[in-house]
Amino acid sequence: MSNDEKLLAILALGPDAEEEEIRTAYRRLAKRLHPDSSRDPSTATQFARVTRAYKLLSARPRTAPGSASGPQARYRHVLAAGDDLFALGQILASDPDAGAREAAARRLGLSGRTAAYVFLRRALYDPCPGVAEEAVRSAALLGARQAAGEIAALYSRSAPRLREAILKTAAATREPLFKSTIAAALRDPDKALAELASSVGAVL
Amino acid sequence: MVPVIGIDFGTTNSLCAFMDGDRPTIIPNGRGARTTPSVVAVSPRGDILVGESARNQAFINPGSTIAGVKRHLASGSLLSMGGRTWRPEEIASFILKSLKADAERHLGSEVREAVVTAPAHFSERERRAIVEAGRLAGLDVRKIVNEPTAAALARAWYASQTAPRPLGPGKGRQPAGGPENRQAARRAAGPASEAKASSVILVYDFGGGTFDVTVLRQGGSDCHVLSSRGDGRLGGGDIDRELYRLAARAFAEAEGLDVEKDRLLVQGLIDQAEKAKIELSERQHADLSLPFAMVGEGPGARVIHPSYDIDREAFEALVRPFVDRSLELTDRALKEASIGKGEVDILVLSGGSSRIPLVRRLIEERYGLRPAGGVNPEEVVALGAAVSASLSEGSERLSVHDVVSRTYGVEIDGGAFVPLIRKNSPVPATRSRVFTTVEDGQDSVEIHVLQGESRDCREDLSLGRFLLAGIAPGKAGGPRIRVDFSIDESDILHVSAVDLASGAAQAISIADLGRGAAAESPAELVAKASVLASRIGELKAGLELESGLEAELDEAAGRAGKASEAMSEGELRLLKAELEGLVGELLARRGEALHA
Repeated sequence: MSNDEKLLAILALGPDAEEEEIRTAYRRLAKRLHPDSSRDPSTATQFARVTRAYKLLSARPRTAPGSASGPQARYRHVLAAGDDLFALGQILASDPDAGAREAAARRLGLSGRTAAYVFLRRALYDPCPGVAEEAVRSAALLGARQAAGEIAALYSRSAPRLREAILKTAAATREPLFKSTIAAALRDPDKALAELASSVGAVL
Repeated sequence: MVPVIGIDFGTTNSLCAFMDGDRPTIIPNGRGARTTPSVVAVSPRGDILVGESARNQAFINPGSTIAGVKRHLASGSLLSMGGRTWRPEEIASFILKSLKADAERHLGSEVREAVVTAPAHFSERERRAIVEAGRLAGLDVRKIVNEPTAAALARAWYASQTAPRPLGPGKGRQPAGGPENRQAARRAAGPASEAKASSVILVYDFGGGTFDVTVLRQGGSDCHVLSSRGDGRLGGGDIDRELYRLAARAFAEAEGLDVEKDRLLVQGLIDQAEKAKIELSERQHADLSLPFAMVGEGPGARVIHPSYDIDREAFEALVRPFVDRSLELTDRALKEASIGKGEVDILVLSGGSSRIPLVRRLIEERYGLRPAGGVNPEEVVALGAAVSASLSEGSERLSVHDVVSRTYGVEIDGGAFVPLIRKNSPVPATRSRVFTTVEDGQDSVEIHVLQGESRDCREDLSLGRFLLAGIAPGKAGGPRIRVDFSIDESDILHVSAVDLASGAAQAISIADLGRGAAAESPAELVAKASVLASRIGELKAGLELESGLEAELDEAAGRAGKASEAMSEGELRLLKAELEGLVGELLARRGEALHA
């Protein structure tokens, strides 16, 4: 994981996130975690981490704006759906292209509406691990507590790669919704993952 | 106050009723008849005719007449009448308009709103077509009520009245049926105010085009639908056609007359068949005749007067398969409602075909029930619609609750499906069951939530999976894990699992329970939004929420408060889905708070 990738993970974003997505994710997280807005004092540390990550990311040299290879450029219909949760949910449920489903899962997370989880949860059952991984990040971005049990179940039925990705998202975002997943991961037969889980468990 | 009328819009006949003070009452039409045939025609002068006058000229002018428009609603096909084509909704609106005019004349005031009934099997599109027909007729259709529910409502209404002559079911019971039965009969036959114990109502609706059977439980002023079964291709019309075929065959054999060749003859003979069927409810014989029919062509043509005599016995042999099929469905509905044959307290017959003596006899033989008196089977649905209309005006005396439309449960080891909440359970439904582990030292279980009727979970629909981790380790079969299922009025399935030893808990909320988002009308979506909004209000009480989520809740609740049928369907669906998402989140937070 490169340094940038680590910073993006703190904002619950994948390695290919674009400038605009970084801004949106930060805005959503700040709104949810800012000590003035959150009634839970423990989010203050989380807020500080998120802010630091965002500052470092904004200071880095910019890539060419609107690079043609970015996922946004490739999936215009996903972009065109905008914040229409229904349209995004439709893409998640029916688009044959896994890349489009991934992009839709990400947009649902960036919508910042907790309610978007009703559409997002379908992606946790997606046959393509990439889509499920994106959905886990989006659930973390939304802070959807209702996702806890389903993400834990996803963890227990997935291959090691996706299991690792889920734990990394948990480690980076430190969202409480991952508590159940960590509890399951502590007994992971893969020793490295079990160790990762116990270190995440310690900070959660 | 402007009255809301109840309309039974039937395939063959339509009726209209209103609440006269406390009593549902049929409104007679302009000719003084209580039913209006659902027939529309254009006269040679270009006037629209509805009812009896339309039916009277149907014989001479079939091309300008449309009957049975209810079957064509939402079919998308156009109907031709009097040289132009019409949408089925337009034709239906003429009938509704005529009923509206009758009601206005009878009541002496303007009528703007109505409750209209529809068969239980009607699709959402067909229901919407009725609303559209109402709009064209200048009627705001407040509500579409299922016909069997309306029939039960009418009966429940009568039963709840302390009328001087209680319409109790006591006479319907066989007095020799055992002491409990007699007791039940006495209890139910007494003044209704004393009959507080709940009673089971069976609505047997055998109409012109369809058969529906519904089992309801009524306790006090509450009316729960327990189960419902129906067949859209089982009705009096099918009996008429069977009778028609019999007569046509007889004419072909005896006189060489091919009825099928002449549309007029076909129509005439089907009408005769219907009359004969009705006749046979009272008498032992009836005949079907076609006076002045022509046989042959050219100079060899001759006029004949064929007639076919049928007696009750032959008729009953013909009807028997239809009735057997209806009783089979009745058995199934009772089984689904877990009601034994002897447990039905009240039988309500509805629809003209239920007048057939064989129907009454077989029901009595099979269930020991006789129909509750006092209500005319042809009128009971319209009367129920009027009752429903008065309820929608705010009277709280009776209410009908929904039932769960599918079975929900979990998968257990070996891929078997264990149902927890069964189809037709009244809402809100809750059920708990304790499960255990299959391996020694197992510390987590996956709960797989499914919907379906099959015992094999591969054939059922998967709704979601969640993991309960942190189970106190023990031998296989040792841990006790309680799984709770609940479905509340907001139509969200909430499943939670708790390890009773460690207290570890996990839950999942599933919205959109496959009642089919598409199956909800705008009015239902608005109603659902307000239910969800009030549920949110309940759930968030006492929870510490970040202000972002709180703002989202308030914003969504605000939109729910302003929701109206005027909003686009997309907007309403999205609003409903968002509210469901928020209810799910609040349920999860409550669960966390509970087990923290």
